[in-house]
Amino acid sequence: MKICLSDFVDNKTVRNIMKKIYILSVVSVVLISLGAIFAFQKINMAPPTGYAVGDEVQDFRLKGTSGQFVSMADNRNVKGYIIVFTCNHCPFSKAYEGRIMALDRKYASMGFPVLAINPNDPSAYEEDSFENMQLVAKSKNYSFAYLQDETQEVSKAFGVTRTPSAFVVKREGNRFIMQYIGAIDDNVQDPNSVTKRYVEDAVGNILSGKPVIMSTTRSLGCAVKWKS
Amino acid sequence: MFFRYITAVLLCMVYMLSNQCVAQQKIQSISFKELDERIHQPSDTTLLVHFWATWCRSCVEELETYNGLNTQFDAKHLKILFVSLDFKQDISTKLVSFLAQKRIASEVVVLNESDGNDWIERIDKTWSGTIPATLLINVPSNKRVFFEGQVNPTFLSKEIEEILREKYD
Repeated sequence: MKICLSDFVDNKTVRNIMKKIYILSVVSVVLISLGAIFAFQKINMAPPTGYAVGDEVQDFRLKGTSGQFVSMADNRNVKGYIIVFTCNHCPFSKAYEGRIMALDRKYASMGFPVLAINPNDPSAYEEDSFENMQLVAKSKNYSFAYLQDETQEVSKAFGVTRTPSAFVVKREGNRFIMQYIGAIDDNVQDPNSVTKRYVEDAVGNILSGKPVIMSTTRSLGCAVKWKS
Repeated sequence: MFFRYITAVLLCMVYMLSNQCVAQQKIQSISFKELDERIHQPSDTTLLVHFWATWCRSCVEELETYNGLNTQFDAKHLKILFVSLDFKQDISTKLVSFLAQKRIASEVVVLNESDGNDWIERIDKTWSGTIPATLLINVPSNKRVFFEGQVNPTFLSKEIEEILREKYD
C-alpha cells in the first residue's frame, strides 16, 4: 500500500506545502552558509596588528644613540631597510645581537642597511634607557643606527609586540613598502644550527627582483613594555 | 699523592654529573608533537597550558598567579601544565633552581623546539609568539580560549570558571 500526501489533501495544498518547504530550505541554506562564513572569519581573525605585507610604511623620526634623529628618507641611496625592533635587556635580543650586526655588515653595502629600534618603556627596564643604549652601541661598535621609540608610536604602527621583531621594507620612489614581517632566522639558541635565514632570504628575493617567498614568520620574544 | 689527587678529581666529576642528572630528571623536555598529543588526549577535564620562561620578566612577575590556581581549582576539573620556553643551556642552571625557589607545584615541561614558526600558529592562530601566553581547553566540549600577555588574577579566574562551566551546562 502506498500512502501519498495527495490522499489527504488536494493538489493545490500539496503545491503550497512544497513551495513552503522550498522557501524554507533556501532560507536555511543561506543562513547556514552565512553562519559558516561568520564562524570561519572569527576563527581566522588576525590579532590587531600594524602593517601587513604590501602596506606602505609611514616614515618616522627617532633619536639615535649618536644623538642625531634618523628617518628612512634620510638615505637617498638605499633600496630598503632591515628594521629590527630590539633592546638591551631581552635574552632573545642579546642572542641575536651578533646576527643583527652581521646583517648590517652584509647588506648595508647592497642597499639594505639595518635600523634598530628599541620599543620599550625605559622606566620598566633600566637596561633599556637611552644612556644604556648608547653604552651598548658604543661598546659593540654598532655600524647601524640604534633608535629609541620614546613615544612608542612607531612600534604600535608596526604592530610590534615583542623583541626581537624583524621587518624588511623596500623603497619604491619616495614610498617604503612592507615586504617581510617576522623572525630573523629559525634558531635563536644556536646560530650554527640555523637552516632558514628568513630575513636574508627576504632581502635576497628583493635584490634579485623576485617577490618575497616567505613573507611572514612567527617567533618567540620578550613582550614589549608599554607606557601606562 | 698523585693518585689521591686523581681520585678526588674523579669523585668531583661524578658528583657534578649526578647532580646534573637529578636536575634533568625533574623536568621533561618534549617536542611540539608530544605537547600537541597531550593537548588532544581524550580526558574529562579542562586543561590549562601556560607558556612562559625564566628569561621573560612579565612571565616571572605573574607566575605567582598561575601557581596559585591549584589551590583555587580542583585538580579533577582543571589540569595545569607549565610549558617552559627556556634556552637549553638554562634548564639545569636557572630553571631548576627557579622552580624550587618559587615552589612550583604544577607539572612543568620544557618545549624543545628551535623554530617558533613551526608551532606557534598551531597553538593558536592569533598568537604572535609573545609570552606569557595561556591556552585553556575544555577537553570534553572542545571549547578553547587563548590569551597572550600579562593578565590580572580576576580575569584569569573568570575565564577558568567560565570554561569549566561549559561541561556541566
